Amino acid sequence: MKPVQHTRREDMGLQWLAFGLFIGFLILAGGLWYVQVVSFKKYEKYREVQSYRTVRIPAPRGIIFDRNSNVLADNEPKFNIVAYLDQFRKEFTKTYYQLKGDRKLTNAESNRLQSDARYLTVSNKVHEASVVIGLKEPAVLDRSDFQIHYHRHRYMAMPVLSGLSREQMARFMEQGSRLKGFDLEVRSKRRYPNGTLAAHVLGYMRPRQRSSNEQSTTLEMSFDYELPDFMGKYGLEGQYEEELSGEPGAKSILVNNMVYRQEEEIWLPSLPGKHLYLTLDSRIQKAAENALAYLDPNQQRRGAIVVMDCTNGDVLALASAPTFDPNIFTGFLPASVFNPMIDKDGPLPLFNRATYGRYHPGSIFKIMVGLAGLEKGFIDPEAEFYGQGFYPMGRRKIKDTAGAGYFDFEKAFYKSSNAYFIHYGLEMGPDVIVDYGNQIFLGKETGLLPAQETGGYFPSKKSLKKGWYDGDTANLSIGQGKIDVTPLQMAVMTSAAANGGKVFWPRIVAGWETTLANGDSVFESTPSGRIRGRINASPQNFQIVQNAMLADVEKVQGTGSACKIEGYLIGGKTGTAETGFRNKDDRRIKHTWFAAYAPFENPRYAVVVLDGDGASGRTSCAPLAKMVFEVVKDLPDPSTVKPRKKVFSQGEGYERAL
Amino acid sequence: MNARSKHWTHQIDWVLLLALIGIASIGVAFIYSAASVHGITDPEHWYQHRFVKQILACLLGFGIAAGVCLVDYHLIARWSMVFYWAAIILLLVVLLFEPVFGARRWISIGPIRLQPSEFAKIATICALGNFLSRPLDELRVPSLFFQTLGLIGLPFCLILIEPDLGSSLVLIPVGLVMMFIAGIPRIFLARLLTGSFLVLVLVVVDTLFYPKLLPVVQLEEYQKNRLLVYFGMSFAPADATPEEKRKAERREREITHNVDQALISVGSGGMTGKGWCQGTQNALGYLPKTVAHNDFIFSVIAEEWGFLGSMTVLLLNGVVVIQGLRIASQARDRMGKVIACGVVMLWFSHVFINIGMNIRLMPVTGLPLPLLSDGGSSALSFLMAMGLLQNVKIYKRNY
Repeated sequence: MKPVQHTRREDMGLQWLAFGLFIGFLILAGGLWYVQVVSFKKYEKYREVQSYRTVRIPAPRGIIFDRNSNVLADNEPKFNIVAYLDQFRKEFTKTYYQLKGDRKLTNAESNRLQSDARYLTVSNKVHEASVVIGLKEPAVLDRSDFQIHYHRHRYMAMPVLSGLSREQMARFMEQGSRLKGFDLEVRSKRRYPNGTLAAHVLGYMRPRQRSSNEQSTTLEMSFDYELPDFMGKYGLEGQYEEELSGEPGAKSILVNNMVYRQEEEIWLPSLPGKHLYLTLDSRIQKAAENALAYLDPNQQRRGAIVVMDCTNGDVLALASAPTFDPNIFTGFLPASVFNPMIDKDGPLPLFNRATYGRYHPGSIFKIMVGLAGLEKGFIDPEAEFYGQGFYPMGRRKIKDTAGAGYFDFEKAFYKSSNAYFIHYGLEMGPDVIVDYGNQIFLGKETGLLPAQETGGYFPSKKSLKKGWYDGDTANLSIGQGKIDVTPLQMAVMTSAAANGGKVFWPRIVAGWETTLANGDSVFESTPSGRIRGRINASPQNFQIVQNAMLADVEKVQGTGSACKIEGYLIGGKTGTAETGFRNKDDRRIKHTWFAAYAPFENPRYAVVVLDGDGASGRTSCAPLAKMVFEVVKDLPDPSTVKPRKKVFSQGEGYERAL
Repeated sequence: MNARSKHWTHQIDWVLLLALIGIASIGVAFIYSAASVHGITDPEHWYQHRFVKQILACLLGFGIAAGVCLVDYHLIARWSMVFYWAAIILLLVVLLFEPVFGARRWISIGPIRLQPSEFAKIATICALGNFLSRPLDELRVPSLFFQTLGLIGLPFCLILIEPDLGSSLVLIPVGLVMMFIAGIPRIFLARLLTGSFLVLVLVVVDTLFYPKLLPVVQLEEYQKNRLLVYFGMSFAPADATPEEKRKAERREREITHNVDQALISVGSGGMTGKGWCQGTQNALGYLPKTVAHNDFIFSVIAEEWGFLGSMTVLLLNGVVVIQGLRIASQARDRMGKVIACGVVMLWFSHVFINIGMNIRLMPVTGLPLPLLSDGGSSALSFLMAMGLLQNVKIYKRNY
């Protein structure tokens, strides 16, 4: 101890003191060494974690096209004015002192005043900005929105005026320099340019919930702030959310000690979503929807139309009524609009009846019963059968609208004689009918729209062994009772009947276009014309059924004659199924059908029409099918789906703007 | 040799003065850094900034220190009881004022706010120095020992009820060292030491383990919480309802947060730091802004100047302590020695406790770091104490 070397003996105390203090300094120095040098990395990491905010940047969403590259869903830019709160800090202080004056404030009062000063400053600025861009009514900044943004995300620009018109944008660009602290921001909004067109197939989008983990991206991180984004909730938007949305990017914002933005860096660019090409043809889809709209002027009637390419199973139109406009889901959706849509007693417009509705097929199932009977030798097409105008089934009479008389196969088919088909159905037995039903995969989903599809119901072989009566077989022979199908399944059946027995996997996704980093794009098509099974029948027997279908439309007495088009041969079959329910007018609810294909000589289009509350297949459905055929007959044959030549996307280039 | 025979410049402890100017400059620089982040209540004009006030306080402080040197400390000691009682009266007056942040520590006169406890410490040191300078034989009388204890105990209790636990506790090491140096029998001190140690253990154990069993020791809520955080204990009593537990956890996190943030600040400084005004923790969005520039100023220095900066601060304070001890050893009488040791111990205790709490060696107490922490009263009183030290040096040979 140098300082105490000259001290006298009694200064031992001082030496002890010096020694003690020296030890004290050593402890501090050691502690600091440990914290600052030894544990530096640990604390540095902590610090980094808390001085960065990670922000999620949504990727431009993939566009949905029809088979001819017509846009079904794309993104439109939406312009907002945002405020950078850190630019107003000087004004905050000024306002604070103006408000404060010479008063003395307690801590709580001062805090309140600070909060007032901030809100007042920004809301005045917003007012000013709204005058500059020429809003009729100056915008009012919501206080609680502002508070939330200030306290949680002040490092992010706060959107204050949204949805600018072109004019307003131009004014802002011209005079924007007067508005310090404000900037223009582009956000992307999903747009369905054709409104209700293919709404059920496309689905809709809802604002993405922050906590939602539904999106399985490779990013295993939590974001402090997520730029507003939508996610697909229904239809293909929902089903292919991952492919369409791409992968969100991330930027880190270094915040200063006031949690304002210091600098930012996009360290993970977003990966744009893939463009989706559908097999749908907008023109046919439109025709189908127009036909359905024709059902009911109030657009409340339930129905569906499916148009399928008989040669490969491509779905060309998939329409369901009533319908909805998916655009309303991307904006503000008031409960008064949404709640009626999900009201169980209402028409449920969101429900996709083409794939999710279960209906008795009625007489259109006679196509299968006929094929089975012919192939298995139970039906001789030339032999005549006398129908009494009803079929006695124990104590019950099954009615027959075909009336009494002698029927050969063709006449029985085009007049839709129940007696004839029940007679032969009972003769061949339920096993044969169930075999043939299985050949077109009744009771099983087609996999077209997994989230909104039902397989319906079809009896299994096992269920025939117990509790199965002749009455059930009789019902099944005319497509009633223990059988539920979807319009889509019937389209598959009709295609198979037309193309000579090929049962396809229906296809609606034609392919995906991926934009590569260098701007090129790659198109991957999904396999077309995948055969799922075959109907076991000889070409001759198909010919007999097809001829009967032709007669149904071409003959004046044919039930489908309302679909006849001069110079364009159509084969078809009507169906009317009793449901046992009654509608509001106390009329019995019948599911009425028309399943048809054309051109007869070279089948291409299978059209299935369902009216969920029709009078009969003849009167309600055949005319609708005709409306569709009128359109398709003038169209060139559908070709393979190819992506558009030039990459055109309003969504691209947002990333830079954000 | 007569003091007057030598030129006055030879009597000034230049090393001590330079060290003090160094510390004060660092203090002003980092108060500027800590307050340079723009908050809404920032003053509108530069001259209203904290660092300007600090510069003024330091200049005034050096002036007062010079003033203190003009009078022989014997004269000061003779008047010390007057100062002492004046300080006691101020400590009583302060209790009449409105509490700020839950404590009555400040006397406001117009724009000036004084913290009497800072001055009471100096007055107590002077009074003790005077009282203990009597013949050694008298110091062996137990009654005198108890009188000494009373002399320390009065300001101790008054400061404690403000409440300002840190400032009152700091009187204990100061008092002990002064008594030790003065020559109070070791046996008394040993008993006192054991006694205060036991009381301390009792307080800690009571707070930590039997909060409801012994209501004798009543700590303020925040003091208790700071202790609990320091010992890493849960805030919630064992029989707490889940709701109480949840609330206690929240409070715990709030308080632990400050301590953790200070530690992160210090730790993330590394060897060389991020540079002046470059700290991101600094004045913290994370460190509560009310304490960054005073109680936690060291964490700002440590973050921005790193380990080298912390060592500089430690070294400068070491120089102050060494010079102080040298002055004590060369004092002409026991009074000078005792006063010098008291001043040194006061300074050291503040440094040790404040830096210690920044690196979690010590629980959080509101003790300022001499001349570095923002605060006019503290700067004034410490410079006054340094004046006293200088005084002891100047008049050492003036028999």
